Amino acid sequence: MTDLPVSLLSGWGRYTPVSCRVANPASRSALLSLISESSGQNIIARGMGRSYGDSAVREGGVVVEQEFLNRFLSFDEQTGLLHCEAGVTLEQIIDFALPRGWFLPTTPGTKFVTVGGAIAADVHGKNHHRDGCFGAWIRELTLLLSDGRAVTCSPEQDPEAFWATIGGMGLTGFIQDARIQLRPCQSAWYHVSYRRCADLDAVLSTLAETDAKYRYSVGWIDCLAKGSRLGRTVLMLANDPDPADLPASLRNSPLSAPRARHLTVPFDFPSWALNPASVMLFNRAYYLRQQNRDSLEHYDKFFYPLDSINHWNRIYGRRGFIQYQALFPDATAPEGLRCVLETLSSYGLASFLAVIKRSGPSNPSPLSFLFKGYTLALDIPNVGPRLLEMTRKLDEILLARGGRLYLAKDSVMDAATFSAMYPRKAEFLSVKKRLDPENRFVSDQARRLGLVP
Amino acid sequence: MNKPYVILGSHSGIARALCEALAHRGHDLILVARSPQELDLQAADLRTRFGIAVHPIVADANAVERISALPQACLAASDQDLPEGVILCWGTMFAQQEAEMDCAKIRSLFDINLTSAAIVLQGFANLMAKGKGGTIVGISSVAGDRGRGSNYLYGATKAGLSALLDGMRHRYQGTGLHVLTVKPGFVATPMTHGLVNPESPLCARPAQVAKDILKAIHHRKPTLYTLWPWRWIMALIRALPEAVFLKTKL
Repeated sequence: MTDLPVSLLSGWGRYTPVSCRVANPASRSALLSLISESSGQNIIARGMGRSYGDSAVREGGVVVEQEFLNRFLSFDEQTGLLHCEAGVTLEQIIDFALPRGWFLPTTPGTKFVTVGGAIAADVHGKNHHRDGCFGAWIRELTLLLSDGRAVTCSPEQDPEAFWATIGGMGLTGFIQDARIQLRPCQSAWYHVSYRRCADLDAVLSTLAETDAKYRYSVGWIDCLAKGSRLGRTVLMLANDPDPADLPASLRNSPLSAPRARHLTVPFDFPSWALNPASVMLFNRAYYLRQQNRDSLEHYDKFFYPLDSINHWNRIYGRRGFIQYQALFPDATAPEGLRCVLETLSSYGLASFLAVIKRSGPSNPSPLSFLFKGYTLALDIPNVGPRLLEMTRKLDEILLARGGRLYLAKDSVMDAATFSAMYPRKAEFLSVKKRLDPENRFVSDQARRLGLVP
Repeated sequence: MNKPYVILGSHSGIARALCEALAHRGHDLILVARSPQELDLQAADLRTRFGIAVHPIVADANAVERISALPQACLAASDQDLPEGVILCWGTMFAQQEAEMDCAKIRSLFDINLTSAAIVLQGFANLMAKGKGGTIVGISSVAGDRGRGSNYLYGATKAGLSALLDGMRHRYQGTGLHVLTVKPGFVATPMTHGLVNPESPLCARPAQVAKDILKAIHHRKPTLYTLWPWRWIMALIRALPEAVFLKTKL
């Protein structure tokens, strides 16, 4: 056990890396012996490292990669039920399922995440208002506990363990495998409608109106626009593709999409590269370029625009960045979002990528993020103490309006704020106590949020 | 329909990548590995993703006295159909200093990497020489090219394996049976986890190694270094005069 290599790890935001001992078990039995040989020590699973903060690191603890625990176990081509191990990535699922006429029921903005990570963070996509989170499509999962037992649970069988694991950030045990219901899909191409909204009210009313009409909706919001332009947004709306609408050139093989070209950010950008002026220029140019128009886009471009740029996190420089994804309930959203945008703009902290989405009803998971309302996701560069000063202010805005933060993106929230935002914490902890009585499954985030002593 | 390949030690990092690449090309696979559970998982994975036939066979290269039955068992699994290729991927490695102090470790290095390899590959050669064509591939290592203080116990087993493969190629030339000696440098696999730096430009991903191997099989190359710079690195290391070599820390 002492010979596990030590690596400096962080989340995708590269904010404050820590030293962890890294294991990469080649088999289930290797994972089992790792768990028993490291008894008494903290342990946490890590998939592709795409959560932004410290969810998949533990300073001095054992971080378990899933590179080799990624086997497809079965697939029913009639029903679309896929059984696979937790280390399988969403990219692998698409490559497998799309040619067979199936697609992910919901997907986050990157396909470089594992099934285990998608379950643990209960990820959501552009269709949350319609289809809920990833967890809604998990029919069953198997959890490996610290005593070596494998426990199978589902919405019917031990639902407490099941729903605590959905959105449970890996703290209930290792997710070994899962059964996922895929969605039938007849084409890899999406008809996307782009619509410009001149201000925040226009965004919210358009999103509310288009709820019933479009399965997928997302807005790219210009965080640096002020005054009457505050909240101006380019909305992207789409439905499931219909091969009958395709141009003749694509109709013969509607399920094959061209391989996206990849660019790579080869090194860390200097810290001054992203500044309010450069981001404002980019945002203004982007907003003005988008006209109200329809376009045909293949799934890679529509769902995963950033996946085509390897290491895009390097544009924030060596000090990294945080993501701040806030959720407001319907009633307080207009005023709350306005406050957040005004605070951002008063601090002049450039947010390059800001995304606004509609969210639908919550699921039974005690720690899952979304409920009905509006969510705003921001990238904020690490500028030191001023960053924390601002996030504290944003936290207060959220707390006063019944809002909350997304754990998969959080790097800096404090324990008291977490408890106030997640009132079902105690319920989660009682399930964790049953599944993991020795508190072996611990991440740095779990410590920071007071989820473990 | 493509004829089957036999993958000896199908659960190694390189073997997993080879299985995927071969299955992708539509070959059926006969998988040989130690753990029945892992074999079943791997077989399910390859059947599900590629729709090929997979025959799992449990065998332990550490059990030298029982290993000679393996070629016949593989043949039985594929209805006496001679394989198109046999790829030896099993192998083990211990840190040199750990092995120096432990006879059992030295013994299992030689048993797995060399003795079992020789028995099984010769067994397959005897069967396949009667057929038409086919390829035997052995994953040896650059570590066998010159005994070095930092890794000579492992290196000795791989030097033996390289000599075995080179000699087999000589013996069966003209029969249609081809033998390929593969010498990987650093590869990021479970065997080398923590021992090599996966970010190094000299460190290969298993998928790259698998691709190189299939290409070398196709072109009937005698020896493959992968990644390719290792051919020149090892030429240099072999060319060092002993007096100079002894002063290095290789």
